[in-house]
Parts: sequence; structure tokens; C-alpha cells
Amino acid sequence: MIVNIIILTAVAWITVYSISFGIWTWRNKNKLGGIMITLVALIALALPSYILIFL
Amino acid sequence: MSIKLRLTSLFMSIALSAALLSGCYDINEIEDLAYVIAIGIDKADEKNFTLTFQTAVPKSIAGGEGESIDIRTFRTDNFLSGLKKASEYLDRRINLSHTKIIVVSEEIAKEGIMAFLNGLQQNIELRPNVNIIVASEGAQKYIESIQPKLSSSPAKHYALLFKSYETDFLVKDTQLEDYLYRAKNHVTQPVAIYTSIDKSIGDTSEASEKEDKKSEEDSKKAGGEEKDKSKEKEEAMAIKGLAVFQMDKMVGTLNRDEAMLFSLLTSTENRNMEIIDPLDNRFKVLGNITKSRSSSTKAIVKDGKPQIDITLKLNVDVKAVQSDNDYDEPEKAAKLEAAYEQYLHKGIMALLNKTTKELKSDIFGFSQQAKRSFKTIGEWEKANWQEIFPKSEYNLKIKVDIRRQS
Amino acid sequence: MKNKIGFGSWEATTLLVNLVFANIMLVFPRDMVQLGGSAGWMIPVIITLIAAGYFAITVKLYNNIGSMDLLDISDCIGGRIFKVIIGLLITIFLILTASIYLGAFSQTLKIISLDRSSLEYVEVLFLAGMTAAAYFGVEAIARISAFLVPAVIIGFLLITVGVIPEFRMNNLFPVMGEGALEILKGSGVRLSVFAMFVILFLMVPFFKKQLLKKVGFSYVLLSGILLIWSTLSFILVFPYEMAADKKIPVFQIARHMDFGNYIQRIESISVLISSICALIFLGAVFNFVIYVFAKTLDLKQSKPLILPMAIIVFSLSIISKRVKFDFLGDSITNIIWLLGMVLPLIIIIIGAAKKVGTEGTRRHK
Repeated sequence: MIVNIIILTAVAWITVYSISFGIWTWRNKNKLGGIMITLVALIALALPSYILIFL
Repeated sequence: MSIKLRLTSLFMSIALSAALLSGCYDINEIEDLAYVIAIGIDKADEKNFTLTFQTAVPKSIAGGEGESIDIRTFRTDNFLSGLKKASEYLDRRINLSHTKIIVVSEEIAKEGIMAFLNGLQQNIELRPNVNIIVASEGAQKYIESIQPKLSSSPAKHYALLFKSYETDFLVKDTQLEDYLYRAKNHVTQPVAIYTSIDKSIGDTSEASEKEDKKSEEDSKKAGGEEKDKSKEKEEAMAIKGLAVFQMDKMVGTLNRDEAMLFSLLTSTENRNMEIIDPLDNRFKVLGNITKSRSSSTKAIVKDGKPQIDITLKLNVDVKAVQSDNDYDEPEKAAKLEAAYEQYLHKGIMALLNKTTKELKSDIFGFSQQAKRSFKTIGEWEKANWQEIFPKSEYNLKIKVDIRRQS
Repeated sequence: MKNKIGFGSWEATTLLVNLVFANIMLVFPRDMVQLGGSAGWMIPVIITLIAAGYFAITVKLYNNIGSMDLLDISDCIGGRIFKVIIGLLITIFLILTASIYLGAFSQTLKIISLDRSSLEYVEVLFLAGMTAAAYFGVEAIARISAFLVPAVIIGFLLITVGVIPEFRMNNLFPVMGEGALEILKGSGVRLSVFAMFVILFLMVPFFKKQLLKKVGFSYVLLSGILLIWSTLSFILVFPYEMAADKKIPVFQIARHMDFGNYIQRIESISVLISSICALIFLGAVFNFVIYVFAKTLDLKQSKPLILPMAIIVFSLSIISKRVKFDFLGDSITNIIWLLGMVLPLIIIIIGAAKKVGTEGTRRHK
């Protein structure tokens, strides 16, 4: 249980960091890039969560 | 990337690799494992059977004190659960990476041994060159009779034992991987080493007699039953020949002479063979036979019948002549050649007839030659080799050349 | 996006050959036997010839394209939208490749050495290597492969040479194996072993345009020789009935090496070779995942993408293993993998037809 929490925390941190990169990219006049990076970040959060919770 | 950062990354990579990849999680100390050298399978009753494990005692092998082997027998109804039981009893994880032999009793061999071997073969530790042995007196008895006196390492004892048999007739086809392949496919059939008690072998050394006396005294003190150790020591196991299988069921045996001829046909190793001296039938002549490279075997399927042509070109180095005859003389050498040819021709034809008509088992691998005449696997499988093999006709030609007298 | 980094033809060739070699280490020889039986060795011969023909056509078309990669060509053909579509398709393709191979390599190592470890633990080890490779960049991986891949291949060749005493010519019969039709079908399906042509056409800007022909043909030739030799040696050691069930073919071959008392249990070398091959393979593929994604979206930085992408690859790998489907051996997945050859061909044909070479040079200066 604790291990799962640690893993999810690490993943969440990476997601937040990536989303911030996405926002920075959006602000640098690359809207599509910003959206795709955010999408990647959210997938990077969703997949491990799905594995840890459901599989 | 700055130099400092690069150096730090490099150091971290090396440190992490050393720590994580050295496999500490999977660490296996010798003391934590039970190295099984021999596995024996006997029938107990209708549903159960006994598993015998001969394990090496590493401490004793290294230190030289105490028994170098430990033999335990377990009763079980399932091979896989028997392995687990042994592991629990021995208080160590069973490791099969040094297993040298798998011994099955004749009873089990006749019923089929695939269930046991399937249970074992998934274990990647098990080497493909493990020898399969059929023991007529039972696997447990065979394993208990193996007492490595000249070698402290039981694994080495087996390795040297089989190496010494190579000069007789032992063939590679009795190893696990070959056995599994042959037992599962309807073509070449497997063989295994066949052992039985050899009453001509007895241990009459002083040390052995002292051991007998000591064990008698010990058992008297413990109040246990006195066992007739001297008689037991005489019952040494010896290789009697080969067990012939059809798929995974034993259908017959070959005696030592037949096994020798079998190995002559199927392998390229030198073989020692003795025949009655043609010039003096009181004595024998021992020769070392080498099969020439120009020997060949051709098999074709014609009208649903296999036609097998065997041409054997053999060179014989005369090693020992009990009589005073000098086989360096051309006329005498020619007589010896004829004698060898006659002996071999008779013996091989009898062997071929036995395996073909009686046992109906292609242990020679003629199917490997026969399939050359088919274009596709489908056609070959349609020919149904196992069914047509008993109809085989042989054409055997033997040419012996006496090279020299040692 | 102009590339300031570059490497030579040898680095590029060894990188690409390793991508094919990974397949040899995992499943290729066994798949050939399953498809073709005793004539399975004919399939890599046919595949190599088809791949050579494919490359001959594409390199000819490249005369009208110049030094552009697939994304640049797509940009010239259909503008940014088309480039994004192609780029994302290639990214997804490479991510799936990386995740499937990550799972396969991890499972191989687990079966052979680390049997008590969990699969996820083994995958994390490879993931760490893959991620580190991404941080160092494509050039680093290419240069490492320049000296490691030859060593790995020599190790593999020594293993196959060492089992020559176990070769049985009878194993090659019946000569046509499962039949000509099955062999041709197998060749079509397993052409996917050359799916990494997509990486060759993404690597073009890293080396000079004049070297494309040399790199491509060297890649096809060396890969072909390795594919044929690995299949041939596997069939010669194991009869086809037995070979079809043998997992990790190169490891199984190595187990048969036995020279006296000193050279025994050499299969540990195959583990080392497999691990090095895996790290270079995963590092290279993952590098290109990041590179393609960044280039597709015109991103100024690509390093922040490494960690989330690594998590996605790892997660997909875990999911694929839980699904218990043989992605590497299945015919349908192999046909889908042909996308790695079909997609570049389509783009190059359109690009050559539109003569994007001159227009592209103007745009990318």
C-alpha cells in the first residue's frame, strides 16, 4: 500500500512537472504542442493509476 | 551538460549498476540450495510412487569430512508436489542444475514416463545432457548402490562414470533432450540406459569389511535390526544394455552386445569388441573398431515400405590376442576380417530384426534418412513412418579391414 | 529544426543492425521454424531479398528528396497537419515497439537469471537504462553501439560456431518444410523484422545524404546474414519438431556448447549479449520516440518529455504482459508492424513525386 502511494506520488510529481512544461510551451505560441504535452502527462498519470488500482 | 554533471551521472550509473545488476535480490548461497545429483522414480502402489533424491553435501565435498551425498526418499502421488515436499523436508530450495541422472524403475518405464519428464523439463536449470536410466531393480536401489569411493564429488563421479562407459557403448541418445524429442515425435524412438544387479561385482576391500563390522556393532547398540551388509554390498548395479522405448513406454531391452552393435551403427566413436579367435576357438580376440567416414545409411520409402541400405566400412585395430596367432600375417588377417564380418553381419541383422519386427521401434534414426526423399513435412507425415517401419527391408554390407596388431 | 549533432555511417549501421539483432535474440529463429518447418531458413533469405529491393526503390526515390527525414517530407507534402498526423503515428508505433520489447527482454532475463524477481523489477532496470540513454541523446547511443554491437555480434557468432559439432544436416529435411506457400506467407508476415526502416529514414538528417545508400544496404546485408545464420544454426541443432517449442532460441543453442571440462555452461554469455542488445535497442527506440514527438510538435526542449514517456512505455509493457498475448510471435501484430516499412514508402513515394527535395531545402534553410 505504502509502495503504491510512493509510486503514485512520484508519478504525480512527473505529471505536474510535465504539465508545467506544457503550459510553458503553450505560452511560447505552440498551442498544439502544449495540448499534446498535457495529454501525454495525463496519460502518464492515468496508466500507472489504472495498473495500481485495477490490475 | 557540464563536466561535473556528467561525472556525477557516470558515477551514479556505475554505482546503481553495481548495486542493482549484481542480483543481490536473487542471491543464491550454496548453503541455501540442495543440489540434486540424481532423481529416482519408483512405483509404490496404484496411485502413489516414491521419489528418491540424491543430493550433494557441499561442506563435506569441500572439507572432506562426512558423507558427500545424502539420499532421501519420499512417497507422493504427484511428481511436482513430491519435488515441493523434498524441498520442505531438506529445508532448502531444490536446485537441479547439477542433476546428472534421472532413474526410473522398469515398472514405471513400461507404463510411460512422459508425465514425470514433462514436470521436470519446464525447469530451466535442468541440463539437456542429463542421462535417463531404467533400473530393473528399482530406482531407489540403484541410487543407493552408487557409492562414490574414489571421488569426493558425486557429480564428478557420475561424469567420470559415463565417460568411462563411452568406450563401451554408451550413446548420447540416452540423454534427456534426445529422449524428450524422440518420445514426443512419431519418428526415431528413444533409448535409455538399462541397469541391473551384477552379481559378479563384489566389494572385498579391507575398509569395506571394517565398515560392515562397525555398522553391525552400531546397530546392535541402537537395538536396531541387523542388516546383512556384506550381502548388500555385493549387489552392485551395472549397465546391462539399453532400454528400448516406443514413444515414452518401454517395450524391450538390448543386452550389452546388442547395445554395442547399436552404438556401432549410430555413432562414430571407437568401440572395443571381442570375438572368438577364428583360428583357435578356445580364445578370443579383442579389437578396437572404428567406423570409416565412407560408411553410409540410405533409407527410402518405396510403395509404402522402407528400403534401408546400410554400408559399414570398419577398421579394426587388434588390441589383444589370447592365442599365439599372429594376425599381422595377411592370410590370418583375412580370416580375422571374415570372422569379424560374419559376426557383425549376424549380430546386426538379428538386432535389426528384433527392433523392427519384434519391438517395432526405430531407435536407429532411419527416419531421418527416409524423410530426405520427401519434399514437404505434410507428405512425410502422411507416410506415417511409425506404421510402416515394421515392414522395413534391410540390405546390409559390411567390410572389415584389419589395420594392425598393437 | 536543424540537427547540430551527427554521426557516421558505421554508427548508423550498427544501431540499425542491433534493432534486427534484438529480434534474433528473442524469437526470430523459433518463429521461422514454426512458419516454415525444416525449410524455415528460406524465409530470412526471401525477407532479405525483399528488404533489399524495398530499399533500392526507396533510395532511388530519395534522389528527389535530399537530406530530409520522414517528418520534413510530410511537412512539405501536406503542411503541419499532415506532419503532425504522421509524426504521432510514428510516435505511437515506436512507443508500442519499445513497450513490447521491454516486456520481452525483461521476461527473457527473468526466465534465465532473475527467476525470483518480479517482472516489474526487471523492467525497471531496463527502463533506467532506456531513460538514461534518452538523456544522453541519439548521438551517444549511436557511438556506443558502434563498438558494443560488433562485440555482441561476435559473441553470438562464437556461440553458433561453438555448437557446430551439434549440427545435423538431416534437420534440413524435408527440404521444402511446410511447403512453398507457407514459406511465402511466412516471409510476408515476418518482413516486419525490417520494420525499423522507419528509424533509418528518421536518421537521414544525422548523417550525410550521400551515406544513406551505404548505411541502408549495409544494414540490409548484415541483418540478412545474421537472420539467415541464426535460423540455419538453430534448425541444424534442433529438429523442427523440437525447435518450434524452444523459447529464447539463442540461449537454447548456447546450452549445447560443451568442450571438455573447461568450456561448459556458456549460456551465461548469451545473457550478457542479450542484455547489452536490449539496452541499446530500447535506448535507441526510446530516443527516437522523444525525437519524433518533439520534432512533430516543434518543441524547443525535449528532455522534459523523457520521464512521462518512460512511464507510458513501462505501463504499456506491464499491461501487455498482463494481457498474456504473444505480441512478438503473433501474425496479426507482425502484419501491423509492417507499418514501419509501408508508411515510409508511401511518404517517400509522394515526396519524390512532388519533388520535395528542392522545395524542402528552401524551407529548411
